[in-house]
Amino acid sequence: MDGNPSDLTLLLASAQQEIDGLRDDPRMSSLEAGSRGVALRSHVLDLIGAVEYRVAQSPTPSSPEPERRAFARSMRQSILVLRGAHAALPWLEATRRPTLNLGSLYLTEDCARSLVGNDVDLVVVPDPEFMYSTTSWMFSAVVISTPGFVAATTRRPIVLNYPLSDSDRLLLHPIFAHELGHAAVDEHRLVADVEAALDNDPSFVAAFGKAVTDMEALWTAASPTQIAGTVRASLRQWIEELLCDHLAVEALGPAFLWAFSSFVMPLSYGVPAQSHPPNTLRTRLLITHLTERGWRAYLDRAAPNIMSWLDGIAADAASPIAMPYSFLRDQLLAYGQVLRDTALSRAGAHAMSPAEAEVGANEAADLLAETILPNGTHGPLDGRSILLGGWQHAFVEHGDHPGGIVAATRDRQIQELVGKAIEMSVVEQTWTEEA
Amino acid sequence: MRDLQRLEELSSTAALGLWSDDVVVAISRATTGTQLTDADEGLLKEAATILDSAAKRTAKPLVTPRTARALAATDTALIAVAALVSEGDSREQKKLMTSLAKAIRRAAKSALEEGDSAQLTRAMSLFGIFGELQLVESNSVLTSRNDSKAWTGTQAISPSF
Repeated sequence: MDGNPSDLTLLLASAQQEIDGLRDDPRMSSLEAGSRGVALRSHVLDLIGAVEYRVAQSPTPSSPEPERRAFARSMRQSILVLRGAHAALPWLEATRRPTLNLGSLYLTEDCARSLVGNDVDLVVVPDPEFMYSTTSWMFSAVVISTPGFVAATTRRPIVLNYPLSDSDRLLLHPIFAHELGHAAVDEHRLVADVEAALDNDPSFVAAFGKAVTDMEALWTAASPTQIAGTVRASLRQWIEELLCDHLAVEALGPAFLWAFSSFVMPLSYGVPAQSHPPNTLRTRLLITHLTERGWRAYLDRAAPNIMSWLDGIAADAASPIAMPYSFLRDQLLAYGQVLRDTALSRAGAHAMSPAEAEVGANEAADLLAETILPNGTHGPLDGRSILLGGWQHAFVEHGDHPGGIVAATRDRQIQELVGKAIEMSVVEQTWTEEA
Repeated sequence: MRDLQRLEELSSTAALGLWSDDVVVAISRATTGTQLTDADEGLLKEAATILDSAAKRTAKPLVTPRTARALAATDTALIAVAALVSEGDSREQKKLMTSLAKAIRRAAKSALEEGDSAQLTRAMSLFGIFGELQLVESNSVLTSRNDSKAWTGTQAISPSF
């Protein structure tokens, strides 16, 4: 039976081996204070500390059997997580040799501070899988589940994952803002805010109850409780994804809409998933948000045909879809204002203003048309305006149509100029501020 | 690879298992007369709350826990209780969960009553099953690809774009 003295001896030795393997790895060597990856390394050390704390509470051979067996299971859980933590080692190595375009890295760090807060440690790593994704506080569930152990890390570690081939495809990097949205949603509990607004409305509560009743006829093997729990879980995931889209709009304006369209529309059109709303719905809510924030005239001027195409996709959000997805879609369309208000409130003063950004974007686009580094002629342009101008110029170069939006992200010259301009702009602004 | 998502999922799954095993240890201490720590008392109160939540979830669809962790915990508690109650009668399960919650609350206050010892032994079995289920789940998360889950599966914790 597990938890016997031999079993416990094995588990304690194995846990120690995993701890030593992580702690002694050269990639875990200390980093200079303030450099990227410091909080991530500290978070891994907290995980190790939490497991060591548990190891120190090993039961004696005379302890009751349930205690010994429970301890054995907790050691096995700890060993599993320690093994999983090896995934963090390449991330730590990436902080010493970043492969992402420096201009993009600066812009992304600025987004992180705007959306999540100042106390973040951003690690951006390439992945062979062709997908953008993120994780933060990846071991905190285990660390905080160790009663009596006090973690040392207070700064949020965020790991952003991007496709290996996209390190210098700047025009797609607004997707990072969406990924950072997940950290913002978690840090500021934004899903709970939106959910509370819905739950406080009797019409939503009634609609939810009806959806569960309707689903009973379809999911005959599930109880109403299971159905309610499953629909609720999906609602939360859809809210989170949509909030991340809205936060990305506040951070980077139309550049996010264009990056989003270029990346996700070739993958899926109007098909809903348990974790993600259909792209038709996402497009519709994005356009509504941008319009409400005053971007519509700019969008129609910069790429009228692409907007017409996107308007068509948005209109298809109303196409028939199966339950419970249709319930989720209808409710989130009805409560879209809550999503927009929540995102704007989070971005606050960092929200991108069309009036200011458009002037800078026009200047950047004009400079790019002359193949001049678009960092401003009368002072450094804001990095977000430079990115917007990059898209604007790319439409001129590659065409105002769906094929052009794809070709834009392949144009290395525009993206190199945009990245270098953002980098120079940040350097100049920092130098000016320090002077 | 989707290791980023799997890592958070692994951590969340393992944490729930660690919690349930800590509950077993706390109940064991309470039944053997060991002085309970503040952490033990906190664990016992949480365990009683989860059982109460799980009991309520059998009755009314909209009584849903607010956090992902509580949702997962009550789901697992329901499965563990079903494994413990051979009759499979939902009323029996609800009755058992409520009864165990009361005994655990008394244990947290070090105010055990006659008959509580047997109930606490059952509670240790329950949270032991709970821990075993989570250990199986953790192994599955670490060793498998992150295939999309069925509608009734545990929700993914960290999404991709």
